Amino acid sequence: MVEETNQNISRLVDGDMGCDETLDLLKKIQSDVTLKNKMSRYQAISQALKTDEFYQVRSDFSHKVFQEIQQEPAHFLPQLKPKQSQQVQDKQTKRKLYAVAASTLAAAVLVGQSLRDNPSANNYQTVTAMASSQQQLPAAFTPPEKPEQRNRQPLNAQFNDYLQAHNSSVYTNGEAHFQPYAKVTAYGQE
Amino acid sequence: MDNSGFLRDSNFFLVENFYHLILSTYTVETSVNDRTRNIELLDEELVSRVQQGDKSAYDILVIRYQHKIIQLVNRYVKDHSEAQDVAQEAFIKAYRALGSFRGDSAFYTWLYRIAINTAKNYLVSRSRRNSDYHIDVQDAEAVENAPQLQGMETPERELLSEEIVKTIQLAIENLPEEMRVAIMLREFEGMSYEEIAEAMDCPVGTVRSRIFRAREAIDSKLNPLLD
Repeated sequence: MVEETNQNISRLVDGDMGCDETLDLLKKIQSDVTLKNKMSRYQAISQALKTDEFYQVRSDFSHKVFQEIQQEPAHFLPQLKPKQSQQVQDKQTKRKLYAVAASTLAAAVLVGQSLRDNPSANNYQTVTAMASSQQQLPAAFTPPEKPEQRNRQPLNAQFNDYLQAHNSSVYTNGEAHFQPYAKVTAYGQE
Repeated sequence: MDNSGFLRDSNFFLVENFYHLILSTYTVETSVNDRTRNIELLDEELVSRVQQGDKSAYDILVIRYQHKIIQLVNRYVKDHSEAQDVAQEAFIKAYRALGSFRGDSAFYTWLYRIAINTAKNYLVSRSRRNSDYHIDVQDAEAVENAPQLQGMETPERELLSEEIVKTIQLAIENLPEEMRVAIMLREFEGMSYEEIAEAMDCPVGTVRSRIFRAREAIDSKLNPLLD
């Protein structure tokens, strides 16, 4: 057990230990003077090999520092500065903004893809279906018109006229068994 | 005679070896970098604890860095005893200033700067106190290079230090081959355990054991001189 601990101290001196291992060992060393001396001796040997100078850290070195710190008045106690927490908050806000931007971008890409995948005829059918359903509503179910809607009426009528004028018959010159240009192209590919 | 197969095989062998070399170098570097990052994380955690009022966490930081800081201060203040006093002062100053430490740099880098400033200030104040040296110190940089202030070691202490170093060198010469190579690669070449394992073609655990045993053997030779 002692040998294992000493080997770990040797590893600690060489920086060969992970975070948790280091912390556990340092806690052990903190409460054991023998281990403190062992660490100090290994460090001194290591240094002597590199620099031809040998000196050992006093065994009470850290204890003296600790005593001094204990006597520190309360106003010297280190405190987390509010600016630091502000920085953390700023970072979090930035992260949220980035997340929202990324989500919006992803949504735009998905919508774009779905629009590209659906043939334009479907859109046309949807729009015409919606337009015709509006026209077929019985008068009883038509909501009372507001003055604003009354102003828009000519525009809707114009829109309907446009849609009717630009249906597939225009491109086929009204001949029977002719498909719109887009459909003919798709048929040719097959 | 058709050598193309052999050449192809040898080329493949070379490429494979090169690939392994790159891979092992990358693995060693990655593990060393990970460890360095882990150590920085440990420091951050300890500093955070101190900033929340845990004084024993600072004690751990002191134990962790005491030797490095004394070694650093010793470059300025040549007397070991004085160097330890100055290092203690540096640690106390660092504790007082820890509230303003924002973690922009690593804790050790920050501590290192405080230690250097403390050592320089100490030299300046000592030169002002001690008029025997007759040195007009304008700034700490000039004091750094003043040999009169650096060579403060007592002759007895110097003799003992020389004897210790000779004993260590003798102990290394008497070590078994594999232990000597392992500790020399570590101490003189600064290689990591993984690199030594690669070089000596043995597991990392064996390297750990060899280096530890080498240190123990040297330590046992030093006991009569130090106890």
